Amino acid sequence: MQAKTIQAPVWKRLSLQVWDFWGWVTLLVYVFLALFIVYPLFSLMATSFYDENGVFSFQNYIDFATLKYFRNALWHSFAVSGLATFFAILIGVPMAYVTTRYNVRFKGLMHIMIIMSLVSPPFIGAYSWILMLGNNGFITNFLRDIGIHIKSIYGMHGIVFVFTLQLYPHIYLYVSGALKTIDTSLEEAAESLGMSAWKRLRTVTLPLIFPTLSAGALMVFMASFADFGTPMLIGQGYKTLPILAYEQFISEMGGNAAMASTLSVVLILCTTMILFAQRYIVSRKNYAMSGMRTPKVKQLRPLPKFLLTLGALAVVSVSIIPQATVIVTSFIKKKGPVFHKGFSLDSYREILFRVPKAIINTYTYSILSIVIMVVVGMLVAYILVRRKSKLTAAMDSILMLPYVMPGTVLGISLIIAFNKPPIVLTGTWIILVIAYIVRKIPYTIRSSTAILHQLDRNVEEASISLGVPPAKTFFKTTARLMVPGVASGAILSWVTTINELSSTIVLYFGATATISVTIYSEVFTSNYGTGAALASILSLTTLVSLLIAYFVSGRKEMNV
Amino acid sequence: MQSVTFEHVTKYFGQSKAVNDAHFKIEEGEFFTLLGPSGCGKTTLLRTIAGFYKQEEGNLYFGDRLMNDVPTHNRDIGMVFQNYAIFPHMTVFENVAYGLRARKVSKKEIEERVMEALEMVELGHLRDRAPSNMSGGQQQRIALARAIVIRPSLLLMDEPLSNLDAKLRIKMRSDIRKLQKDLNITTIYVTHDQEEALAVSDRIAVLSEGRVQQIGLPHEIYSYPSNRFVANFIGTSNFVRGTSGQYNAATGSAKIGVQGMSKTMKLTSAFEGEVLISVRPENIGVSVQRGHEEELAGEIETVTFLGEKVSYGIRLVDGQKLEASVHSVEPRRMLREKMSVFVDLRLDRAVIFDETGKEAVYRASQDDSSAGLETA
Ligand SMILES: Nc1ncnc2c1ncn2[C@@H]1O[C@H](COP(=O)(O)OP(=O)(O)O)[C@@H](O)[C@H]1O
Ligand SMILES: [Mg+2]
Repeated sequence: MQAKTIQAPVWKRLSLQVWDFWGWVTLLVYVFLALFIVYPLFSLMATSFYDENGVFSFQNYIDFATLKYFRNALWHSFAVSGLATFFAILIGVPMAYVTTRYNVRFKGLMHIMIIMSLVSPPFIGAYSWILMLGNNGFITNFLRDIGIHIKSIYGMHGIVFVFTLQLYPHIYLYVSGALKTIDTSLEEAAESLGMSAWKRLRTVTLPLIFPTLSAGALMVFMASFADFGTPMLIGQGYKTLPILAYEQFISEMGGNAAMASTLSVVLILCTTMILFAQRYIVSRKNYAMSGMRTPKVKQLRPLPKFLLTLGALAVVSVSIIPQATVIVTSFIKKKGPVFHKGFSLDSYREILFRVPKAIINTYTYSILSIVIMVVVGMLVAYILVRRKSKLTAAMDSILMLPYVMPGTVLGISLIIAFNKPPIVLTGTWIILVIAYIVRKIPYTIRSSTAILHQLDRNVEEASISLGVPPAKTFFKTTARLMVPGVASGAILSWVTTINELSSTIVLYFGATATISVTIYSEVFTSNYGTGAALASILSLTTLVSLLIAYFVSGRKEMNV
Repeated sequence: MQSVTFEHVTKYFGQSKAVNDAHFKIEEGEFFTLLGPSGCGKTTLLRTIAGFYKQEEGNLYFGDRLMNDVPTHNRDIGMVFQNYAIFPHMTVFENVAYGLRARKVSKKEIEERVMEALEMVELGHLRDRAPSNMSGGQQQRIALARAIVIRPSLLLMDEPLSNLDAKLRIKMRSDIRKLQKDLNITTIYVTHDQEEALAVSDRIAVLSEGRVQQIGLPHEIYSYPSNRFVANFIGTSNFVRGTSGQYNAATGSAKIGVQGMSKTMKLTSAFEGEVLISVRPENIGVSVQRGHEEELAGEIETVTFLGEKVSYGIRLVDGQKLEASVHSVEPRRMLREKMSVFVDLRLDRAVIFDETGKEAVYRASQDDSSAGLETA
């Protein structure tokens, strides 16, 4: 049979089922993506190719390549991210191994605390380490009083230290997930071959979890590469690319943003390269895990159990110290910006009096954003999973873009795109909400697609066949069944939105300041008490959100 | 009640035709089965009727109404899925009431009709239970109740019984058949199980590789398969190689020869050359003594006792192998391995295909369907 099959003409196939409810949703999502991701990105790139007189040139890139100032920042970014990733693996992998394979105590508590330290606003870590180990930090002072002089937290080592403590949870979460589902028959086979425990770990277990580990490492690298708050607060002279992009942008406001755009483009190129490198490595080292014999938890004797518990708790405690410090600081009595002995609610009174708008802003913008993210995220997930076609394939790729765009870069690109007609959004709250949605919706989409893959497609078809139109069917059946799965991603979108700093700092404007940018400016003006009170509000909201999610999801694993 | 008409309907997936030129009509009130091996396009055709897929070519009618552009939710169908597709977040009652609520039926009527439907499938007592941890059989009954309660003009079922165990399957299929006749809903039923198809259907369409191979009553499909595929797929068939020669255009008959024997038969189309003779095992006569000239010599190779019948594996002198089954044999008269036997193919009851097996050149049904019965 070599009969040639003739296909129906394209227009005929396009005109078929596309223009139902989902057709319109697809169109709207594309419009949104084109407007708020693709267009700003192109504006950014275009801007980077013009000099200050508006003439097309490669001058910015030539400057970048030839000026040491810029090259150093690139090098700094790679150095702190690389080191942070290395140390995060060094802490995260043993933590994951110990908590999944041994019967250490307080696992639930540690799990929550680890997630807490991950989702706390990135700069809170930096800030509280300044409170402790800064030039005038209380540990620094205490040690100085007894005659010990230590190096202050400021500088590159401080950045790496804070990144490591804040980001090792990524490694922990990914790796413990992998360790829980690994097929133990391979490990048992290695054991039966007489391999020592250490060799088994090195030659069997680690290679098996390598793909997952590298995904976690990618998260750490990307987060530290893109982070703005930490290097800004404790880097001092040590400038990374996002800082430089921000500074160039701020100082160029009113002029042209060409160099900031160039740096942004370089940032995007770097993150994209890293992303593809990770994918390439994984694609070459992919071991199919087949069997379903999941590992048992090893029962330890009391002493080793005690020691391992102690060790794990120590790590977790150190990483949660910043939160504790911030909360304690927020209650310290003070006069003006000067602290006194004793506790009081002064700092809280002051923020309620001075910056109530920031608190209101944070919650209104975040609530609005999360509602949109959940609704849109579920619809987009539906299109990606159930309406897979050439038409929707590009959507998946475009949605990857926020992943490689650091917050600062996204902020800059949105300003460049929307500070001139036809659409002017700069200075409005709308642009903040847009930035939050673009940056944080991937979490919600990811958990939504995951749950959709598990839902039986025939259930919604049954509903449609019973006479309920597709759109109504979605809201009456599919969406309801998706909720438990969507929640885990949505909670992440939510807590990272309320804590968002790096794009807000670029996009806010007096009246639209949020808690996070207010903390940032309070810290810069040395108002530590009010900064701490604001940070405590964020931490508390984050904690409560996580706890609600933890208990509502029936204590199931929380996935990040 | 609704008739369904396919006019040269073709459905593509990429370059391949999952449904290839379907062109037939399903009558009002009929229990019509789409039968074929896995991957032949049954589900695709059913989903095209439901409107989940749209054909690239051809037209689909319900009654006189052209359905091509009518979306699924306006097609007034009930559908039962292979994996039940129960709404897990609703009780049994709510599941069944779902379609009625969408139709804005009054509360009182919903209550009545849902309970009536649940009674029909013997699930009235479970109305307030959550369906998720019910047995497969119960879930399938809920699915059935949910589909019929809206009194659809067309009921579509895609392998509804394939996930149930054998006993339950047999009970459910007669329940479904009875329900369909009581309610008189045009029903299109998909299965890969030929026995199931023969048991429940008014008519059957046999599909292979997207194409309809034959449409007919169950016994027609079984006794007079129109090509080798159907003969092979429905029941078991022996394919014996033979020849057709000396075709006489005036009488329409030719000499059919197998292993030296020959018999003059009236063909449906002029054909000379190699032929394939399809003979059902139960139509083969086996005896120790030669009864008449048309019998072929062979030897028993295997004997399998199957209770109500005995199955013999026989090798003919020219090496071709056959399977013959003989019903209700007395144990002492059972044949044994290595015995020499004579085999009567009863060619008049057989179906003879051209060498490719694509077309029948002789079928017992050629004049009237009793032709095969005369010699019985
Ligand atoms: N959504 C689809 N996309 C592409 N090919 C499909 C799709 N659904 C079915 N097919 C192909 O079409 C053919 C018929 O499939 P199907 O109708 O499911 O067969 P059946 O129900 O008879 O087992 C198969 O070859 C199958 O692989
Ligand atoms: Mg099928």
